[in-house]
Amino acid sequence: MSSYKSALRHHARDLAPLATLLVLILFFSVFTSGFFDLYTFSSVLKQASTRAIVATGLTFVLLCAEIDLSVALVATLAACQMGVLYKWILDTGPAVLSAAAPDGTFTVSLAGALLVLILPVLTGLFVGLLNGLLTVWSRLPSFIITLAMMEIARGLASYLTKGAQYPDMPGVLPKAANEGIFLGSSFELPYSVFVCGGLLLAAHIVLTYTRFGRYVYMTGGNREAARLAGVRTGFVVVVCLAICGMTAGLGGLMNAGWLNSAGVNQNQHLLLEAIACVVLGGTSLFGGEGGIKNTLIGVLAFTVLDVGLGYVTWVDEFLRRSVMGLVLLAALLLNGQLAKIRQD
Amino acid sequence: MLLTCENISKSYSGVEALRQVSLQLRAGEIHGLVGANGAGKSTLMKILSGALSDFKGTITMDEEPILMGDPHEALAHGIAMVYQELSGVGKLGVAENLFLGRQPQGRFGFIDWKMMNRQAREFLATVGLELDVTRPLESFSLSIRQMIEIARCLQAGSRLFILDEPTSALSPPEKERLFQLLAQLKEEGKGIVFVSHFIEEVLEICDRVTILVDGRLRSTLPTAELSKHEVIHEMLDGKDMSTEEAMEEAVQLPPKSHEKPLLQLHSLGLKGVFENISLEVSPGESLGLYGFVGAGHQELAHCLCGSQKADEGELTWQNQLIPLPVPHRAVQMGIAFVAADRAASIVPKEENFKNITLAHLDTAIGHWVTPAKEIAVAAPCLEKVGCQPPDPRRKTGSLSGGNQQKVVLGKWLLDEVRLLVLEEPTRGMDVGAKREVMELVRDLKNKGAAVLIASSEPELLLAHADRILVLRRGVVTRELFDCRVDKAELMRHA
Repeated sequence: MSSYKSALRHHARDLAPLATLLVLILFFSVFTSGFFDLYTFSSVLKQASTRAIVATGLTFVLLCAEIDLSVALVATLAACQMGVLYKWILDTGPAVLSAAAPDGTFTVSLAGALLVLILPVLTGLFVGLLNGLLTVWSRLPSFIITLAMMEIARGLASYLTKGAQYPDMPGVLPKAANEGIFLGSSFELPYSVFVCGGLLLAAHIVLTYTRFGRYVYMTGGNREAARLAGVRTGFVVVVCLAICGMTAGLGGLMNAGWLNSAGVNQNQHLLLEAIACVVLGGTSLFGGEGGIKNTLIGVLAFTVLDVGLGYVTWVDEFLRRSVMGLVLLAALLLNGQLAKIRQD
Repeated sequence: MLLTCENISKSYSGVEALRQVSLQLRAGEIHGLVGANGAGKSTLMKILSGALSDFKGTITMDEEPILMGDPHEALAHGIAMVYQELSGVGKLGVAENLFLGRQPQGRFGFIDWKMMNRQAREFLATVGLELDVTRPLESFSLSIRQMIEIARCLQAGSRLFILDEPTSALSPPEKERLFQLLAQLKEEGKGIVFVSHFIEEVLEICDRVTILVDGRLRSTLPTAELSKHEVIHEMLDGKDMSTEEAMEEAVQLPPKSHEKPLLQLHSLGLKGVFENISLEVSPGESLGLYGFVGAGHQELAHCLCGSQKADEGELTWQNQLIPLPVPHRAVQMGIAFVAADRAASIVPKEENFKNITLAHLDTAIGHWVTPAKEIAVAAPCLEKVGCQPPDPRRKTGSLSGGNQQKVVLGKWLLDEVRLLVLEEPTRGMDVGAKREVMELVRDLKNKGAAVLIASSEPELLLAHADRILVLRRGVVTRELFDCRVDKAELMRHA
């Protein structure tokens, strides 16, 4: 009995996020009509994609006990850059990047499309790298550095778009974010699942089975001990923030595809949502604990909550955001309590 | 009699820290308090300053018994504690600190800045300090801050000043200045308790000195006719022979190693801590660095491994002149560092096997890190260092201090150790764990590693060092080898 109990206590913290996810699904299934449906689940998967991508990079950053507040605006910057670049190629771009469509209009060639998709992700990577280098070099908290970077990214995005919306983009983006493979008549497995799944899997492998992954955990668990054991903790922090910038850029593209438009006003809630997803999954804000498995569950739980509240008719529409906050608070408190039990 | 303590006893969970200590402090007297590490000095100070409440015995002030156990009460009785780490609000001005909570108020209850600054200036002048009282406290040097702190207590009406290692961070002229202030306080009829490791200073400034040994009062003697030698013997002779008898005897240190040195340090300096330190260690040799707390030997160990950045100095490593390494490079070179602060050596929330493989993940585990591979490497290592229990999956933070230290040592055993640098390697461990840890160190040495032990425990160095450098305030005062040496001898040079 005691071994069973101790095992349960030991895993209490790992199980809490999963329990939260299941309770939320159960709750919305019982107390709303129409939630428990295959259609809902494919829409949860679609809506989870941007958060999952951004949260993946953020997991690296939180694990090494740093934070990145610039993710949402880096995502926006990447999306805006993509929109502007695409329009530029259509209007005035060099011949290599554009191609004549059969009906005589101009369209973007494969090389052009790749450029439009890859360059914004590299921008994200670059901003993340800058975040990391500045944080390590200045010895200021990443909180401050990335806060400043957030505003810089916002300004650049505004400057690029001049406030306009860019509805044109490579067709693969809206397709990946909005469409999928129909399995049966009502369940659609969105293409974005493959993107997110691949990314999450790669991140999981890096964090769990490589030296770098171990160094991330150890740097977050006790930076001084890691440093004295020969881990280049500064390098680890720089790489984690660079990865986070890159995934933020990718997430921005995915969200632009979902909205079918790029502009400076998207991703308003993305920062807090992505942090909430990671933390809801049980990854510690203080580093060293958690992982991609946790983030996956956190993203799903958060998105179920988000989508599920749309089915709730007995809450004033204007209060929904508050209800979401309350449920989040409850789940986080529960996680915190369970973490304490495990430590005792 | 200003203050009298009678039969003070205090135990921490069954271990007696003070046993029946009686002490009389006179007004107009500087009273020294000396004793080895763990003799009970700090416990006695804590009781006198009201930081500890559950002790036995009585304390009377001006022939009136007083209740102690609350720092505020102690202050109200006029007992002021001046700590090594300075108090005060660094960002506020000197005058504000002087009058903290008692600022002179003008009309409408606003602070009367002009009056406050003037009063502060006048008051500080009476203790020989002339400075800009509007400047923030933190902009002044440690010695000035210390004198301001004393002045603040004086201004608040304190009559008994307890100073904990007040000179450990002061330069000789600063020390002179402090001594002048103490002499002035003495003239004014205040009582002063001067707690210090530096016996010459105690003899210089104090009227009487009380020597504590193993929590007991050994003796209280007038300093007029006392020599440093006699004080050290008082501190050592009174030892409880049953626990420390082995350490009493003099030890014969071997002659200097003839092997080519593995490393030579050239004129290493760290501002305010030590300067121009040169030393060398050979393979298979164990070099001890001895000094009192604050002598700089511990920082020296940190600088050598890159844990702390030295201001100047170079290293000859296997005949190559190189700059001092950063930790990452030091690990590659085969320098293993065990810091005194165990909290900086382990990742407490992670399992033993992860702590063991951390330093040599690349060579011991390879590209793909899997728990199975790691446990296969870590389990024998834990057995070898004698970690109890040798469970690779146990969280390192849940182990006792001695076992944590074995994990820290075990971490380095996965690859060749060329230089092992230890800082207070056995602090806070029981006798058994101490022996086992030092056994591991001896093994490494016998296998040809050079060992450097920085410690303030003479017993440890006498038992485990082949050659000992003694440091005093950042300067090497003595190199001991090929001679008989005992504890008293070591302490005399420190």
